[in-house]
Amino acid sequence: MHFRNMTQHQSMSLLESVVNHLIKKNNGIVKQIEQSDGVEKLTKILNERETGPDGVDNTQ
Amino acid sequence: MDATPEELQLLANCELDEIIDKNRLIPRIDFHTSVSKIILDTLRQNSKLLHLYNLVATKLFEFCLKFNSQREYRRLAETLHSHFQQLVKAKKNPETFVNSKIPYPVKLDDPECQKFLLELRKTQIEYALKMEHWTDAYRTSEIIFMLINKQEKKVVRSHL
Repeated sequence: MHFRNMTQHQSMSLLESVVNHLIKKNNGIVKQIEQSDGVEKLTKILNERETGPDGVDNTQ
Repeated sequence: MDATPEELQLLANCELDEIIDKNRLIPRIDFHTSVSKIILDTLRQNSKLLHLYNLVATKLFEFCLKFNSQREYRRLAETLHSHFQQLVKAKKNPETFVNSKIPYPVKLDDPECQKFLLELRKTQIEYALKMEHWTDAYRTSEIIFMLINKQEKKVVRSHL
């Protein structure tokens, strides 16, 4: 938060490049999992999670 | 390590490989979604970096659809609605902008901000419909209606 407030005032380009770097690395995590374990396995794990106590949809 | 009878029973009924995979993959996925959430929280009030805000949200929507993650979709939708409500509140109390000293606040009256906000809501409603989140699609359509109304009023005023 302090970093955001500081860079927003002093160096927007620094904030932008840090966020861009984070986005790139963050997207890499999913790509890596896809390559090593495949889409199906991840879909199965995420779906199983849905059935847990936190996965119940009360909004519908 | 000594296992309790309950633990042994649980292990006997589960695939050990599945448990290992879950323990390996779930923290990585949680890290991915948490980082995306932090980026959204960081950029929610920055009109200069709204394109990055939209990019992160769109990537997370793609992730939810690709892996059919209803839970992450709900969390993301809730975050986006909450951020939008904060913008509406800020518009009703303009002094908060002045007091908070945000250098480039997102203003609902600014056409450039409206463009980015509308773009993201269009993406959101598309994914809501694809993932059959009808309540969220309805809520998003209300926001789109509100944003389009604001634009129309401006156009009418500029013609008068």
